Amino acid sequence: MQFRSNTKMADVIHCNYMLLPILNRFNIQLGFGDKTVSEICKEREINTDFFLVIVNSFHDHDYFPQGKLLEFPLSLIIDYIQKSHSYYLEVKVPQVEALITELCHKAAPSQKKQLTLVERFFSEYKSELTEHIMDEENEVYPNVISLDEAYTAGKIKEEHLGLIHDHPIDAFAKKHNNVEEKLYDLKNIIIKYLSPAIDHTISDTLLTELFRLERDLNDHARIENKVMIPKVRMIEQEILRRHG
Amino acid sequence: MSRIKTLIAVKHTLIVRGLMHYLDKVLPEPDIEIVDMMYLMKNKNGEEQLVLIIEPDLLSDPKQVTIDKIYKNYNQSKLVSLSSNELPISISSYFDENLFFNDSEDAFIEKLRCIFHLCDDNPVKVTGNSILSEREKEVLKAVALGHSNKEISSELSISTHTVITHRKNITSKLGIKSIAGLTVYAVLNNIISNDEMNL
Repeated sequence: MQFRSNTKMADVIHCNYMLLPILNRFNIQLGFGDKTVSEICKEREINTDFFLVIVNSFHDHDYFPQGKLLEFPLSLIIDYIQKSHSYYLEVKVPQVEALITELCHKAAPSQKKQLTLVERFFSEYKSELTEHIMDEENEVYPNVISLDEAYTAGKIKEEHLGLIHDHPIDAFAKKHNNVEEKLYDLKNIIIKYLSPAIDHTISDTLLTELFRLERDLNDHARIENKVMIPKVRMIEQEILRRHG
Repeated sequence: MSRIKTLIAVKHTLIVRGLMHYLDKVLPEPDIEIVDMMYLMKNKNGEEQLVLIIEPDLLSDPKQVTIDKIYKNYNQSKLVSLSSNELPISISSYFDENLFFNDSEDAFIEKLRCIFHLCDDNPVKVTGNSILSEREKEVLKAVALGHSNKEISSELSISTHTVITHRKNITSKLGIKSIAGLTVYAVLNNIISNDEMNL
């Protein structure tokens, strides 16, 4: 099933509660009564089509309208990507950390040692993810946005050609590595190799959160790799064709 | 799972027939081609995931050079050996699975199932036997201690190619890909001590 502009926002959540964090990224808060997707988007000055495409591609993995997504302005896409980044760093990672800490507190002495390993492992993952995101936000997006603005305004200067030459998006695409690998490992360590926790409700929640985070990051990477990167590549080529 | 093509390079018709019989049992619609070693040496297929069932006795000498060439020609594929005896490590490390003439029927079918499951897109690649061999433990220990493939190769006197194959097998058996994750596993299982750990 695909969500449409006249779908009630409440039904979107009833249908798939995993979309709640996506709504947050668009600054949509609960309490929508019977309002439809388009009514809420209008109120909040959100591009309804963009919202629908994002929500639908998270909801249904077979639905990924690459062509349609490519039509939206780059600024919209990057703004969305940045909001997801802060959600990972400010909400999800601390949540997982807190669960691991709680598990440590309640562990039997014999298990403490094992959980300290998990704690260290996750903190290493956290620095890796933070570095990955900071690199994108500080090094990549500012360039991309300046290219896009110059391209849209038709004001290409020497510096923009320099940017394309020195930092082509393909160089970023090449080293854009997969940050989910360690999450996959962590899940397996907990599922297969740790001795069972005393308080299994915490370890169950922890695992569920890891599965969710992994899936969210996967969907996120799809948007980066299949929408953001091709779009920038297209702009680069167009600029070079006209001015190069 | 999509259909996976199987190339068979073995000598005797009876054995070919036997293999086809079992492939038919394991796969809904087996897609089989009978080829010879020359074919595998000459043709390249780097894109497709195939399964190659090879009788190492038929490899022309030097066998390692021949199998290395085939391995490179079909770098996306699963290589499976079919032999009467255990193969020397220099050859066996090229294969993802080893079938033996004296395998019991159950063991044989189980191995075939694993082989085709491995070609699945599913990232959880667990082989039938998930316990690490002694050699794999040695490699894992060195990896957990932060040694490079090159260092491990000289420490254990094996080729870097063999090190890489061991690492691939360790990852697929344990379901752990990153070095940090492998290190955690190694500590949990007393393969290295807490003090040696270098996360």
